[in-house]
Amino acid sequence: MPSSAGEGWFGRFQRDMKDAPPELETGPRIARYAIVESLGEGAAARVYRAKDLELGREVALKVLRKEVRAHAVASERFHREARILAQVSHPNIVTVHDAGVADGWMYLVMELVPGRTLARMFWDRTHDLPARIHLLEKAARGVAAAHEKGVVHRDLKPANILVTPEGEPKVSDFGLAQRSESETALTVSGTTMGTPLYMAPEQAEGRTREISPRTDVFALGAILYEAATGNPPHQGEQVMEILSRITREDPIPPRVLNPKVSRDLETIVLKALDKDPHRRYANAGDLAEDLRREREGEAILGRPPGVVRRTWKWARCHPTWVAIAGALVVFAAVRLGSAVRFRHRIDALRDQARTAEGVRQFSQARDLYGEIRTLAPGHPEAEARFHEMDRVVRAEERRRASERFLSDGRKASERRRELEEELARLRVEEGRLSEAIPAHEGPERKKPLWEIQRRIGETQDEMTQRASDLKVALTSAVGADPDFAEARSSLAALYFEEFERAEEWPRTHLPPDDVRPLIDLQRKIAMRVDPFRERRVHDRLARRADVEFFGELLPSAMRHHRALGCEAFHVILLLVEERLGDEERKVAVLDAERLDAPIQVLLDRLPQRVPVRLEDDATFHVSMLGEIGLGDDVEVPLGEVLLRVGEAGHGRSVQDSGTNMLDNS
Amino acid sequence: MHNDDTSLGAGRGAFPDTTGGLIGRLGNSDPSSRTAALETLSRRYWRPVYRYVRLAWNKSNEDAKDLTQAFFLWLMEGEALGKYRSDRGSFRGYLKVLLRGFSAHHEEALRCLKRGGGVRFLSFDEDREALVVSSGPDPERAFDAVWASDMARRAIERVRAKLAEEGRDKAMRTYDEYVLSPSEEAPTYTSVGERLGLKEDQVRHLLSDVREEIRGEIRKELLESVRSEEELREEMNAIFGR
Repeated sequence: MPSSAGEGWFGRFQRDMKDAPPELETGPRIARYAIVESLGEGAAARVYRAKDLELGREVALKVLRKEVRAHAVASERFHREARILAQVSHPNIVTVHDAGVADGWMYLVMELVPGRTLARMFWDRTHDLPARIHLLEKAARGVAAAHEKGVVHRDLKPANILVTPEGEPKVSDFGLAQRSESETALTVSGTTMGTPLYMAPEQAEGRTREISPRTDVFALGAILYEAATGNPPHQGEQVMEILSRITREDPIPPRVLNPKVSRDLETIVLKALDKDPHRRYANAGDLAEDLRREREGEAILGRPPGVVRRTWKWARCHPTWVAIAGALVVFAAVRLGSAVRFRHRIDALRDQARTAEGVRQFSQARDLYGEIRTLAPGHPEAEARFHEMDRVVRAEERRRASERFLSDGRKASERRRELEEELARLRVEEGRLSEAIPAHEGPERKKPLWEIQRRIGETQDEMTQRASDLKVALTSAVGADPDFAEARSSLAALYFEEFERAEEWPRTHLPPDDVRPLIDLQRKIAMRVDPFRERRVHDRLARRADVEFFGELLPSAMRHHRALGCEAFHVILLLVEERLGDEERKVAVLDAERLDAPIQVLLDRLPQRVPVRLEDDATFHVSMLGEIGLGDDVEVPLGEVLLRVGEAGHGRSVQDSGTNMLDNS
Repeated sequence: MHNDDTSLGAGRGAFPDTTGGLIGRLGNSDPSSRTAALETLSRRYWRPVYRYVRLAWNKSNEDAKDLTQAFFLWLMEGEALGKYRSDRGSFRGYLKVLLRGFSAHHEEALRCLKRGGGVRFLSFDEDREALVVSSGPDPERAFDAVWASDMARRAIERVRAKLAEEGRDKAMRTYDEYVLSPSEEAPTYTSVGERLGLKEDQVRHLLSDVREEIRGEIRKELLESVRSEEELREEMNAIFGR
């Protein structure tokens, strides 16, 4: 028999069999879709022409490859984006009908688009330039519809844009193109993946956090460039060579290669292809809009790069010509200096931007600063504030997206709790019936029991489904905003719950890296908190050991306090209270609205405590913090809680005395 | 069973009637046929039962072997097997029920066996081959896990022999390289193909063939003891860990 290294031959055998159900190998059918023929195979999936047996229509069935499914992040994203995409309906997007898992295969069901890809069309050169550009304008509108839902395509290329026989472009493969790390590695070694020709610099450099709708704008720009000149903007023999050109070299202006390209179209294409994402169109909608203006002869909104910037870029590429460049700069400066009206305009924009920022209209402020940057590249205030505003706006967007997923998660969790109760009820009923009905009874009398058992099965199935929904929602919430503590602590709590139930991590369900320390901490705390509480009165020695244990835990609890939420505070309060040595001490219920969420959670979870006087407790607690080595870390929210406890309890500020106590300690 | 639409490939006619199959032969009045069936049964279930006994009653290796032996003797002499009704669940499940029932008699059975009351009708050297399945401390789960891995092991070995006979060693080697004893962490069709001088498509097809053969062998063995399409499907899923 084969060796049993690692997970053992049998584990591998099972996994392999699970991944290759007979349906796919012999009888071509997944869920209610009968496979007709293979349409092609990509890096991440196989696509089939299939028939929806229920609705009797033909569809494109995309089945994820095993390697991709094994990658938890990729599969979570698959689910999330499939769900979002199913809501995006636009004539220029391939409609997603359905997505799911059957027999362990993840599949996506899409509209079947007859026709050919844009890549093929470019090759055939059947359309003239304006027709090609018009087609891409429509494709950009499709992409824009997805951008509005917060979905970034990430892998736009002519092969992903289908063109129907009626000439309508349809963008396919949204969001599904994100590759797992292993595949990216393969990409770099250049062995399997196709082409990075349409990749934006932030992707080429692996700055995945910067991927945004502007990444798609770059890709659309590259496709426009190819439509205009016949070739993509950055070419090369080797993958690395192309990637390097994408990040370093500016493309040759399209009009040099094809004089038929209008000046405005050139401006649009080059703006879309800017190395700096913030200088590109903010999204595909803006790009499409400028393409329309160009087509209808209106003035476009995108402006050619400023003279200073162009000169600077040119000087960088041609150091030997810097002397001449210098002359150009002087010329440009003279021109700028004389443009008084221009300066007025900049000032007006700046004032508007400041006002917008003052009233917290960050997105508007960002656009205004952005406009200044376009008009006057290098404007110090616009430069600094633009990035700041952009950061704030994006953080807000992420938070909002994360909150939406969290709310989905709450719903799933609630439903799961209901089902749990239902299951318990059914189990009792099952026990009662199986006692009441003798084992040798015939089917007639056993029917009610069987009915209950059937319902138990159904309930369990739905619970599994809800549990999976919950995990998808929470993982998505963390994915949408990794800095959102509530999302992380919810996800950590979920994994913790799983961990407790399973006793060890199932191989396929390892938690994401960024919540793992939290779970460890939660485990450690959970192991000790309950016994600690029980021992409070009885066993002084054991209590001292616990206090020391928590003391050791404290630094990491503090480090993670935001994500860990109540658990960390719990430990701290227990510890602090213990140090106080007064069993009767109570913590007041406070003006909770002013506190942040984790603290509120803490207060909810603290055992029912009667709001009583705290007299000097708050200051004392804070001084205790000093004593246990947290005095310097005054941003410690606990200190804040305690101070507020004092405020709420007595209507007098204890902040000063608290600070004094810290200073004194 | 009303589900005609199955992918497992066994039509309803493939199920043995009540007198055929392993279960049928166990209840047969002809003693020689019954003994042969019991021997088959004990060969197939020896290791799962052994594993169960070791964990459930916390026995040493030797005692567990004796108890396993005693269990099969108890089965042989008693009427329990004849009472099996397939409409109440799988045969495997029934054996577990019997094992639970055996717990009341196991000390006595062990004493009886040690006094020389039993004859060993099967020798099995447990130490020769460590149980490959780690299953945790739950005896019933251990029983199932060992049963599943044994079923798979037997099927794989039969397929190996069959393919060798037919001169299709390459398929089995591909399966070994990709599934059973890969020489790298996560083999791909490409990497296996490179090692064996095959194209990716060939690897895919060979693997698919071997899987189908294995499924067929497992199905064949299961058909000896299952009575319905649904049960067959459930047992196959149990083996494949679905």
